[in-house]
Amino acid sequence: MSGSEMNKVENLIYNASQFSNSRETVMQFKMRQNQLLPEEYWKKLLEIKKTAVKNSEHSISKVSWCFETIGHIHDEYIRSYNQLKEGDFYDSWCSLEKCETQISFLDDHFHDEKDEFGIDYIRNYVEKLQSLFPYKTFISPGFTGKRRCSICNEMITPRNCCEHENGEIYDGEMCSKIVTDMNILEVSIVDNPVQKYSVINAEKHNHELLKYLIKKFSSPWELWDYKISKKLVSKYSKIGRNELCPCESGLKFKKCCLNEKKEIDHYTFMLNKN
Amino acid sequence: METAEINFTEELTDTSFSSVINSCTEDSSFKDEIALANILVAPYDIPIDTDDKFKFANKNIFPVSTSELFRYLKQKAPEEIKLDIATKDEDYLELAQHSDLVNLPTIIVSTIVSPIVVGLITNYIYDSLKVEKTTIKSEIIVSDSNGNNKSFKYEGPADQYELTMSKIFK
Repeated sequence: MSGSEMNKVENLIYNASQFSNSRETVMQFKMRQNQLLPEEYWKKLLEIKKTAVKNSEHSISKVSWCFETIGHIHDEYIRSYNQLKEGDFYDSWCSLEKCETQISFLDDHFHDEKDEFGIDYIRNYVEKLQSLFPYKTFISPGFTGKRRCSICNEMITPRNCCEHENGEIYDGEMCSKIVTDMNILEVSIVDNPVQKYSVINAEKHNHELLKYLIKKFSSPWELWDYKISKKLVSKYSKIGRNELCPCESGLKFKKCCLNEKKEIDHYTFMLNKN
Repeated sequence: METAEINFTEELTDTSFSSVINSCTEDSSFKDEIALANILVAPYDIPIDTDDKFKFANKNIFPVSTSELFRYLKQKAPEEIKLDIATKDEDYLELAQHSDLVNLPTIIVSTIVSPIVVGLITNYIYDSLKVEKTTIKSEIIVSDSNGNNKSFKYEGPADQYELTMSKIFK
């Protein structure tokens, strides 16, 4: 999208009168605490979009899409918070992934530079929360297929293609490519998947770190941070050189684990309750 | 942040314009058509397993988004470039892989146009992919007038591609 079009969209997002209710609702995101957006928010945007499409007001339909996407980002973030509170860790992980995806969609069309809609706040805390999940390996498929345009349904081939650009907004809908004739070739275990939903044995992981943190929260909009330091495993910290080694090898500590650093990551959380 | 490693190799290869053209189709008129190219986008070289486990093996499989790269090159290439892709549109298939890695298709080029191609691919990475922090994988095979073919493989950060390749393709 060109710089001038982005400015036009930004101007409409901040100033267009038909979006005043939607704008006010999403700007007051912290007031909603852990409540999802009301049904009226979505209904109103849909009405505006339908009218804009009918009147060929492309910028207005695009702005409707932007407000819908901001709404999805807020709702997924709040949903992930509620799921963490309920102990539904994998569901919370998936909501954070959806949140991250929606932010990447919005980035091509609108930058919330003053963070009035909380997009940068959410971006920052999605990343922080994700880093505290114990999920490091994922199942991911490799497949062949053909792709169609989601807007006009035309097949994408090297020599023929519709004019719709991936990620661009047409009549208030984002253009994406739909895979057809899919044939799964293999399934791999990877640490850098395209999508992060397919966690291996999610329920068997240790979520104590998240449990500890989320207990301290009274709102999804807490300001917090953490740092990691190395700490000696406690059973190794007060052992004399000539005592038996805690690893139960039967050897003296000095002849066994003394020179091996038995350290673990120690997380210090900082919460700003002001 | 970890510094991503760059894996760059340069070696002779048996893959050439003619080997790709001969293996991609039985249709002689299509072979004649793509033989005019001095830049040819080649499909994956997927082996057909003898015990029939890999029935999917197909000579028309390209990395996902090859269509977009092909059209970008078509739009941006100067007139002396004759670009083609070694598949018919109706046979064209894409392979989406599991990891967050951008695979570019193998591109065979004649020596004289190789610096132009590298420049165009670099621009494509910056203009279209917008993924400076992503790892990309690319292979360019340069075919000289004596029939020698040299493969240049790059796997590493997208933002280091230009620097690495420009040392070779001046």
